[in-house]
Amino acid sequence: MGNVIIFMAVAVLTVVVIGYTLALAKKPAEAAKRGAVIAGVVAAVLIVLGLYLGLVWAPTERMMGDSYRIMYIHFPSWVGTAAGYLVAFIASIAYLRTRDQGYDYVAASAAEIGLLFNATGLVTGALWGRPTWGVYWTWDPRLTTTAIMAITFAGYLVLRAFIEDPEARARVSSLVAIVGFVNVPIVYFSVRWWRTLHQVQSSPETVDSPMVWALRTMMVAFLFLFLYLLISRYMLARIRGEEELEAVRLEVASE
Amino acid sequence: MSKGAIIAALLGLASIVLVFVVVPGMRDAGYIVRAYVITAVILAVYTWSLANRVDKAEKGRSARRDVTP
Repeated sequence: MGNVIIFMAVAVLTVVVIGYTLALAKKPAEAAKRGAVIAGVVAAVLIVLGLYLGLVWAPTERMMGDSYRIMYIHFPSWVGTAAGYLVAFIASIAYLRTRDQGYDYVAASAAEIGLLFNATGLVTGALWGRPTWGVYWTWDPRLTTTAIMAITFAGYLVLRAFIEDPEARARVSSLVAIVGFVNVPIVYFSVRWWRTLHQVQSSPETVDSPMVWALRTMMVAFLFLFLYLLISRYMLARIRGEEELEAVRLEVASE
Repeated sequence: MSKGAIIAALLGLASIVLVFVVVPGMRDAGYIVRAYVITAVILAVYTWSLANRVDKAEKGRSARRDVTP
């Protein structure tokens, strides 16, 4: 029962965080900045606490030994990745419906932060795989679909850099983000659909309580870190977007 | 350098120090240290760079507003 309540609390927190990031498009800069400061402070405190819980407080795992402690940064990295790509997906749909540039800034920022966490997830996964599986990398369905996901969103960011017209860039990249997101649920379910090397998701009922609490703390910490980074990246995107629109206006006026 | 960038750098350094103090006695310590240090470096450098870029862009915007009549 306790685990169900905590699961619901984490789910609600995730929905609130994602909802807040989407609302950024309509928020004044000062309010966004305040949100970034709060998220940054919460993330910093929880990261320090989570590192202590994961590296000192949690016991050694019976089968894997201490290498399982990589999970305390590996799994939270996927929380940041999933949150980033989900926000990019929803903001892209919102942009195509409303044509509000704010949603395009949110989508681009979320994709970049998602890719950042995707990179840390891949690196930590490889460093856990070597002592556990004997290899850094193998073409397992989970690993392969995750690599495809990273390449897709890296392509999304490269594509944005190549299109100069802000409206065309927002329209085309929204479509890429929507199509790219299709892979996210495939990544999640790949371990159940194709039972190969990568294990299925663990349940809190079968894991020692200190391990679960360390993992939950780091998950929430990375969610707040994601929020802090996303707000900061959005503020940068908005300033650059305003500069770009101003330059276009001046060019039109001078003709 | 902005306040956010300094905090990101300090937090990244503190995490690396903690890992080097706590992990070396463990089994497979090399992999754990590498995973934590690489993650800390990636996240701290990105956060540091982003905080600096935001700070610079905000200063540029206010400078433009001061110049524009």
